[in-house]
Amino acid sequence: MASDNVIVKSYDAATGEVKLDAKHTLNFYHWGAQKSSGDKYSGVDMRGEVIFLTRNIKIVGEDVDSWGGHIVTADTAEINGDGSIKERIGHTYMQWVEMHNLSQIDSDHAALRFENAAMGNSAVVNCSIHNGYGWGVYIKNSNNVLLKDSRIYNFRPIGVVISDVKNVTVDGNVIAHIALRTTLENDKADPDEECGLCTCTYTNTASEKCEDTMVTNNIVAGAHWVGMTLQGFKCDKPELSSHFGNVVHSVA
Amino acid sequence: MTRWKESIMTFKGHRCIGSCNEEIVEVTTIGAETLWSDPKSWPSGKVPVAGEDVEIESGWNMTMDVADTPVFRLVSVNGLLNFKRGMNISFKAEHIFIRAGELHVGSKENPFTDNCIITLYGDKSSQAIVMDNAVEAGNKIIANLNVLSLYGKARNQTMTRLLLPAKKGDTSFFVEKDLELYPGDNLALLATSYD
Repeated sequence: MASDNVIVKSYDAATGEVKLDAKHTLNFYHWGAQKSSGDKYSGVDMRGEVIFLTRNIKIVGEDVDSWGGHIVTADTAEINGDGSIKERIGHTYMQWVEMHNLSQIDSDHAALRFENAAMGNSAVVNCSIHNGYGWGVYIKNSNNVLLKDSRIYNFRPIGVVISDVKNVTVDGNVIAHIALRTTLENDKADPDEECGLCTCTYTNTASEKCEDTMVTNNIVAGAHWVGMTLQGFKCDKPELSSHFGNVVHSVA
Repeated sequence: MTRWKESIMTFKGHRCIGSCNEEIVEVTTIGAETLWSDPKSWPSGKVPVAGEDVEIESGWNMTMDVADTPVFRLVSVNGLLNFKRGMNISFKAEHIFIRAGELHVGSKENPFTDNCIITLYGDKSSQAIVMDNAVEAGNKIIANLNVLSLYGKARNQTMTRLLLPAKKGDTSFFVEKDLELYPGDNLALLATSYD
């Protein structure tokens, strides 16, 4: 996977030059140019993206045996001693937050997971979620989630999964360096699921439904086998789903 | 000759009868702010120490004002927990369970501008917390059943493009001018080919 994760030593705002420590040289070639290649390639800018991962609020997993932390938002109903029921509804709002070394290897415990979070609403905007050994983001059986303008980098083998959701918007995100799983032996008869952004297609069953789901203006840069999957919609009901403006590159 | 290898696999699970957690007597937050660092804020009369379970009780309005906490075991948030502005805070726990309460760092109108690091501790074998019958929580977790609200300092950009090719072995590269980039910032140069 031909990406580089680097730490800035200095930046010259007048020239745009970013310098690195001599011991942190680039490991790969990255193409760049003064002007966008959009005119030549149907609006697609082929120049290498450089994404910013640092934020001043950080949620970090202690680095132990590739086992990261994770964040789960859910709803639940608690039955009290008198038989009454107390509903709890999870809402998560994050802007400009960095999540690092989250996600748990060989599980669906993504760095950021919404599971059975159907009654509230959540928004994750301008966040960076990076460098975990498992999945990046998992939105499952959940409603009313906005994932916008966030940077999701270096997870395996899934970047973002949306499954059985309603009113979920994934817009303007960059999902990159989604690497192969290296721990579990792959059975050829039951190959591993690998995907940068997997929209309502993870289980490949007709029961996996996504309503009012928008996947727009995202970039997947660097993934194995599948960059992005999008669920089709009935020709006469395009209003139930909307996917446009997405770019996928550097996938093999 | 066939050599057999014996393996032991253990499956662990839980099934709660009724609720997974004890009932909370919920009261309205009265607004009087208490400080985490103040022993009088705690029923025990002592500030929580490493390895302790800590509960922000329903009705409390607690402000986290400790620059560098020890590693707590389970922090249950059933009241209001705000992080103090004007200081850097490193908050450490194995699990944070936001059940009936709210955890806030900054707000949409007034983002947090200092540095805040929340670190989750544990390994694969650490004890899992139990949240609900339907959702497997696991360990090393922030489990949120109510409100988790984190608003950090905005930056002027989160992505740029390479203005010149960058080659293997290079120790510098060129991006747009006048960006908000600082020494120590973490960047990723994304692939432009598959290797």
